[in-house]
This record gives sequence, structure tokens and C-alpha cells, in this order.
Amino acid sequence: MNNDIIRTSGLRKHFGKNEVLRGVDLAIPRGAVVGLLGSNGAGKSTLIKCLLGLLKISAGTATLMGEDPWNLSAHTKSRIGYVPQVVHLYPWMKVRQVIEYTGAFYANWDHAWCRELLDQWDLDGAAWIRNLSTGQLQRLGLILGMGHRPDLYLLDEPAASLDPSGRRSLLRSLLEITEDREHSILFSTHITSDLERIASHVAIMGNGVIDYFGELDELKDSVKRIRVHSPVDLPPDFSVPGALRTEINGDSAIVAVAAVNDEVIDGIRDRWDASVDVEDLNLEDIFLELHDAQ
Amino acid sequence: MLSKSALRQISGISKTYLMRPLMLCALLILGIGCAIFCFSSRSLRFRDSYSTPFDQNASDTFHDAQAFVRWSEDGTVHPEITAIDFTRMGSAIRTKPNDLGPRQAEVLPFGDLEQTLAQFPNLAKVQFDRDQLTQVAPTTLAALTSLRAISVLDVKVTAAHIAALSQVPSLEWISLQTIDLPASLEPLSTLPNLSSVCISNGPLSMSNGPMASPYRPETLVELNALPSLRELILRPQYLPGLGYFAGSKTPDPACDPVLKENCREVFADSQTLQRLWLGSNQSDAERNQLAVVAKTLPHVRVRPATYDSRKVLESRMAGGILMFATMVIMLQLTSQFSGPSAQLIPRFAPVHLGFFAAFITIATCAYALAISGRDLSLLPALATFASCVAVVAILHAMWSVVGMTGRQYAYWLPALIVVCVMYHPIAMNFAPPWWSAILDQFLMGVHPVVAMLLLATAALVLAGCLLLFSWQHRFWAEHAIAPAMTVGDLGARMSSLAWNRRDDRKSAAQIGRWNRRLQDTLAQPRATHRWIARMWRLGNSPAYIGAIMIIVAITFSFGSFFRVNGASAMDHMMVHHSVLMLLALPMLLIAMQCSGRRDTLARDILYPVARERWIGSVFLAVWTQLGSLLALAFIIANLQIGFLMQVPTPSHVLRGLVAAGALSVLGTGVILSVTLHRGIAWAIALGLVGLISTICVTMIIVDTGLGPSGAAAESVRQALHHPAVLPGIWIVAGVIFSLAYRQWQRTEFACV
Repeated sequence: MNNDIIRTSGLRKHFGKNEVLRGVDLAIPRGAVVGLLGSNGAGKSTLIKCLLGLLKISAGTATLMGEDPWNLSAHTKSRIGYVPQVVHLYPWMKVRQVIEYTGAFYANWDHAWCRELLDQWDLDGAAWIRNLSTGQLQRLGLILGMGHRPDLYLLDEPAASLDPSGRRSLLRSLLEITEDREHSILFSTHITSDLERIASHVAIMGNGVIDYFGELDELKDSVKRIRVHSPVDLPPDFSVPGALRTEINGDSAIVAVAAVNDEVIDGIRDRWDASVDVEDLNLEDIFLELHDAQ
Repeated sequence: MLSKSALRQISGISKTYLMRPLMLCALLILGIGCAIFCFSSRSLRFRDSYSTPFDQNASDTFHDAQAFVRWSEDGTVHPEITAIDFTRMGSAIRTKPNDLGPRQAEVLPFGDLEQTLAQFPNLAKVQFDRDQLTQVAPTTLAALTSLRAISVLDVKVTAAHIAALSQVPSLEWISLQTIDLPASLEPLSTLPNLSSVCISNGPLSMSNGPMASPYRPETLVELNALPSLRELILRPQYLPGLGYFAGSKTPDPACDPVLKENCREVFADSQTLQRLWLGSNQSDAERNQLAVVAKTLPHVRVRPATYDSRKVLESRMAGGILMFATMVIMLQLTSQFSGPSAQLIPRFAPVHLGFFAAFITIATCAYALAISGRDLSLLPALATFASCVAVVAILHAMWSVVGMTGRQYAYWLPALIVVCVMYHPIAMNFAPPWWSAILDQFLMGVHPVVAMLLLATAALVLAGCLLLFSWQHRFWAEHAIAPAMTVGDLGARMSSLAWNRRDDRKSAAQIGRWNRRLQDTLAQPRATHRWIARMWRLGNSPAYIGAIMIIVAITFSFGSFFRVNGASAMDHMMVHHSVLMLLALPMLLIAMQCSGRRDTLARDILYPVARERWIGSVFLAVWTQLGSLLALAFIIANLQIGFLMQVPTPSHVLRGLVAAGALSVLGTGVILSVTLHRGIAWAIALGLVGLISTICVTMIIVDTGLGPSGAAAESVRQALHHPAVLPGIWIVAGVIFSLAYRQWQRTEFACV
């Protein structure tokens, strides 16, 4: 239990009568890179803000590095890096000024690395914040969230506004960060290809709850698409154990299955005298299948 | 019990305040600057309203008694001397040191020296002390062909004086400072060039001998008969004469209404008189009488011979308040740079600079209105103060340019500017009289074209400066506000800023950005229009409420100058309202500083500071700022009370201190509560509580009440002394402070 850097149990958050989080149970181990997937309005950003103490939890419990998010100690805050979905910075400052200003709060601010990131991400230190594009602001937000080399990164759709080059740079930096398996990352995103490249774990949110949380490879190993071809027409009630979605078209069917194994496949072959092809799914397909299953 | 870290934090915050040059300036102003409030000040505003030839080049006037005696012995001619003032030689001219020792001296009669005047062939102005003029041979005076002006100071001006004066045909100016004139001034009518006559009491008051008033109707008739008289000054300092003490019921002709009535009759047919400086205008009745004289003499420019003391007092108070309020605003602007040490986000937004400019404009107009009236004209007054503001703006801009070069000595320039501005009235005390005379004439509207040109130039300069700030506002604003920082802070900042102007490529990029900003500026009027519209809708930001409340406070405060009657009531009202403004302004300015902070606070709270400590730091920082400013206001208020009402006693001061302490707590709670609330209703409710409390605390500090009558004001004052008042204010302050603190503890700072 102590190895969990983030832990929530029955976490709920409502704004008036609108309940956004409906009992989130999550336990992220130290060193994990967790991709938080979910449709719009699923509660990803709210969950992250609750974990940071920016929003107060309505019910349930949560701990971040073993502490109550609402009363995080200075030491714990110094180990957290947060990049919001929309980066609000002081428009009247210059890029270099805002970095220096933020860095003044942290004893271990890595100025050299920040300069390196500025060059790498092609940001002009003398540029005014108000003149930056959304993507450039996002890059600057990343630098501000990472400059003190935190142990835990909470990134709220960090790559949403980045161009392909920026996304690649970001992923490369995140991969470098997580090489030592000491740093943890929780990031929400809609870009599943990015998540596939760096995530060790994936959490899929829907309707205010975690539908799935586990290792990415395990998810990809378990969720498969099965194509069934039978000599005779398949009945409308054709079903497969663990099916997420079934599409029947005469003598053939396409079934997305959450937990595929040889026993299931052999059972289909024996019963319908059919040929069965098993296809691997990418993360986007898995997400869509899981989303459609709801 | 405060922890070590808390003590360090308090120490850091205190340091950021104490190390600021502007704060040092404030302390200097408190210590020395209040000298301008002294009634003995020789400021321009306390001088006579008219000017004399003796005011011009006063510093060049010869008044060395020892040299005069020496020259009389060696007989040397001194054509370079054009003006002699015997009144400043004092008793030295009457004595002559001998060789027996410094303690023994023999009297040297002035008559022995009168021939010495012939050694000054170019003498143009002479000021004689008592009995001196009659000892000078008429032929000696007549030989001085350049002599244009003579002043005589004597208790009794006799026929011999007048006869001596009438022997100098070149005379243009005669000033008689006396309380007794001879029966006839007729000999003066032989002077073809005599254009100006001044008759006043000067420093003289009473004599134990029989006197003939210098303002008798027959004297006025003789003055009217002078062939070239264009300017006449009649300034009696009416004092009851021996006749009064003997029971006489006949009005003394020096009595102000009598003199005005006589002048009205005598000078109605004057063909030559152009300017008449007549009597006093200290009361409404005197002003009305003067207006009647002016109406009767349409061809004569009638002015009072003395300034309106009420206007003088108002201008002094308004000037003091203006300077102090300006200082408070500058301090407030600079406090944005508390920075990481106080864990407050610096906000040096153009709104602040815009507000600063607007406030200065309003205050300048109010000040000009306050001093305008019968003595001073509105246009030159506006031009003068607008020019002062323009000069400050230019100096500030120059400093910003110097700052852009990275010179660290630029750090001290604004402090020097502020000192110059603050001590300008005191410096005026040491200005030569001729300069004061020129300024007098200008302020009285003698040169309206110059005033218009000056006003237009000042407006252009200010507009240009504002545009500069608008184009480069952030960059310049940072340096404009930099004096808030310590020397170390500034050094670090200057070395860290992107001042790479030597780099051609970056300079080109900078110029390109300036051009873009120019284009943006062209669209600003539209934005300004929207801003005003939003302000009237009260918007969402407490800044708008703060701005409106400040305007109301200023208007309310300055408006009091025009409402009150009676010197005592005026003193009370002025002190009350000036203190109200002094107390309200810091609170409202800090409220503006905190406006719109809730969203940005989401970033603050993630900095590595524990939530409780962060909230505590915010409260402490705001309370420190408010407390410091209220302490300054409190000291100023008690100085005002001391000067105007002579009432501060230990119990008054203690009660005021307790009340001001409660206000600092209450203000902190109000400001920080309003900061978090987006709802306008709560902000207005708390603002009203703050305003009512401020008024109440102000009245406690001044220890006076407000009411339609003296009795009503007294009953309010007695109510303020009720034992429940001070605890009540503290309870309200404690409740609001606690509510605000709890509110901050519970607030979710994230944007959802």
C-alpha cells in the first residue's frame, strides 16, 4: 500500500447537483506512467484537480504521496509537477521572467535543463507571454511543471495543443524522465498513440468512474477482435462470453472480447463449425470498443 | 507562539517595506515635510497678494551695514549698487565700532551718513527705516536721477517725509508703511512719474501717541488727485485706536467696510487708476463688499490686498492631501513587487498605471478648484499643476530610459524625483521674492495666454507619456515600479531581464514588436470605451467597485471644502474628510491589487508552500501593507489635529489607535473576502461595512462628529465615546476576518 503514489477510494466530487466523479477507485504504484483515457466530460481534469487539492473532495478518500490532497505539505508540493489543460500565465511577463519567477519558489530548480528545453522546443526567452501561441504556451507550461524535476507529474492533456514535432519532443522528454522508474506520471489524453508509446498503465474513465485500470500490455493482450465465419447463417442471439460488442452479418460476425483465451475460441469453433480469426487491437480501438460497450 | 519560519517571514516582509526608498521618503515627509503646515512658513501662498518693486532682485539688494560705514569713510563710488535696504541693516547702521573694544560702541547718527547716498549714482530703490528719510538732504535724493522706488517704514510719516519724497521727480513707486499720515499728501502731486502708491501698516500695530489714520477720506481724495496714479494698494490692519478705548463711536476709516465704502465714492471718477488692491476678503461679507467696489469701478481692476485665509488653509490642506495620497499610491504600486518573499504575485498591470494617471488628474483638478477663487484663477492653477505632473512624468520616462540601459544607479532616480516633488513647497520658501511675484501674477491670471500654452503643452506631454507607457507598458512599468525592490533584488532582476539591446537581431525583433504594439494601440480607444461601459455595470471585478469608491471618497473629501461654514467647523470637516480619504484609500487600493486574483491563485497554491502557511502569508502580507499605510495615515491625522485643533490628548490618541487597529483587521478581512467572491452582492455588502467602519474610525480618530448642527455633531461625538463602540468595531472586524480566513481555507481555487 505504501508503494502507491496515488490512491483513491470511492472518491466523489459534485458541483451542486451535478456529480462529476461517482466513486473513483484508483491505486497508482510508484514509477508507473499512467495514461488517463476518457471521453469529454468523463471527469479526468476534475480527478486531477481533486488529487492536487485545487478542488475539495465531496466524499471518499484520496492520498497523494501519502498525504491528504487538500493539505499537502510544502515538501510534497515541491515534488509535484502540474501542467494544466489550459495554461494561464501572466501575459505581462516574458518567457524567461516567468521561468525565473516560478523557479524562485523551488530550491532544486534546474535552470540548465529549462534552458535546454527552451532551445529544444524552440521557445524565445525574450518573447512576451501574451504573444505566444496556444502550443507555445503549452510548451512553456510543461517547462514550468517540469523545471524542478518533480517525482510525480500530473499532466492534463499536455499534448493537446502541440504539433507533431512538439509531441515527439514531449514524449522523448517523458521517456527520459521515466527511465529510472523512480518518477511517476499521470496524464490524461485523447491521443492514444502517444499513450501507447510511453504508458505502462492505463486508466479508462467513463461517466465519473474508472472502467478499467491496469497495465497497458495486459489490456492489449486481453482485448481482441474475433472474426467468425460459419457455413450457416448465425442467429441474432449469437454471443461470445466476455463480448464487449457483437456485429452479426449473415454467416459472419465481428466480436470484441474483453478476455480472449483458447477455450473461448475453441468453443466457438466446436459449436458453429466456423473458422475464427483473432485480431490484435490498438489502444484507440480498445478504447472505442470499451466506450461503445457502455 | 510564532515559529522561527513565521518570524523569518515577517522579517522578510518588513525588510521589503523598510528597505524601499519611497518608504524612507515617506518617513522623511512625516519628519520634515510637515513643515509646510507651519503657519510661519514663508511660502508663496502666505505672502501678500500684491508685489512691489522691492520684491524683485531682493537678493541683490545691498544691506551690509559695515560696508556702508566703511564706504562712507573712504568716499568710494559704487555705481554697481542699484538697491539699498536700510531696514535690514538694523541697529548696526546706528552704531560704529571703535578701537576700544567690541563691547563699547558709539552711536553713529544716520545723518552723518546721508551724504554717502551720493556715492551710489545708479541707485534705483531705497528702503528707509525709521527717521532715516528725514535726515537725508533733499538735494542728495534729488541728485539720484535713477531713483524710482522708495519705501518708508515709520510709525508716523510726517509732512517732512512727504516733502522729502516730493523732491525726487524720478519716483514711480512709493510705499508708506505707517499708522499715521500727515494732514496732506498734496506735495506728491508734483511727481510726474509717480504711478504706484502703497499704504499699509506693515509690521506696525499701535502707538501710544495721537494718530491720524492713513486711510482718511481726505487722504484718499489727495491720492486720487495724483496725476499719474495707476496702481494703489490700501492694506489696513485694522486695530482699535486710542479713540476706541476712549469710547469713541465714530467708525475708524481703517475699518474694512468703511475704507471700501470711501474708496467706492472717491475713486468713482478716477481717470488714471487701473489697479486697486483694497482691504481684506476674509469673510463672505468682505468679499461681497469688494464685489460692490469692483462693480462701482468698472474701469479699475479691484483685488483684495490680502489672500483669503480660508482659501490659503484649504490649499495647504489640499496640497498636503494630494502629496500624501500620491505617495500612498506610489507605495501601493510598488507593493506589487513584494514578490516571492511575501509570496504574493506581483501585478503591475496597466490598469494600475491608468488609475494612477486618472487619480493624479482628478486630484490636480480638485486641487486647482480648491485654490481657485478670487485670488487665484482656475486656468493658471490648472496649468501650473498639470505642468508639475508633466515634469514628473518626463522625469519618470527619462528614468525608465536610463533603466533600460541597465545602469543600476537608475534605481535611486525615482526617489530623487519623489523628494523633489514632495519638497517643492518647502523649496518655494527659499525662492527669491521676484520669482514669487512673477508666479503671483501668473496665478492671478495676468498671463492667460501663457497659461493656455502651458496647459496645452502639459496635456501633450502627459498624453505622449501615457502613449509611451501604453506602447511599452510592461517593460517600462516594471522599471517604473522597481523602487519597491531592495538594492539586491533590483540588481538580480536587472541582470536577469532580457536586456539584450546591444544585439542587433534582438533589437530588430524588439522594434518589430513595438510596431505591432502601435497597431494594437490604435484599437485601444475602443477597448477603453468598453472598459468604461463595464465599469458602470460594475462588472465582476472588485476593482471597479474600488475605483468607484475611491472617486466617491475623493469627491466627498474635496467637496467638504465648499460646504462648511465657520473656521472651527471647517477645520473639523477638513480633518475628518482628509482622514477618511487617507484611511479609505489604502484599503481600496489594496482591494484593487487583489482584484481578479482567484483564478491566478490556482497557480500560487501549487507552489511549495503548505496551504495553511500560504493562506497565513497572504493574510499577513495584506495586513502588513494595510497596517503600514494606516499607521502613516494615523500619524498624519494626529499631526493635522495637532496643527488645526490643538486637541490630541493621550486618550484621544489611544482611542484612535485602537480603532485604527480594528480597521486594519477589518480591512484585511474585507479585501481578502472580496478577492475570492465573484458575486457582486457580497462585494457591495462588505464594501459598505468597510466604508461605514472607516467613517466611524475616522470620527473616533479625529474625535469629532458629523451633523447638521453643532449640537447634532456633539451628540454623535458623545455616541462615539460609548463604551460599546470600540469593542463593537473589534467584534465586527474579528468576525469578518474570521469569515474571510475560513473562506480562504475552504475555497477551491481551480477554474472548473
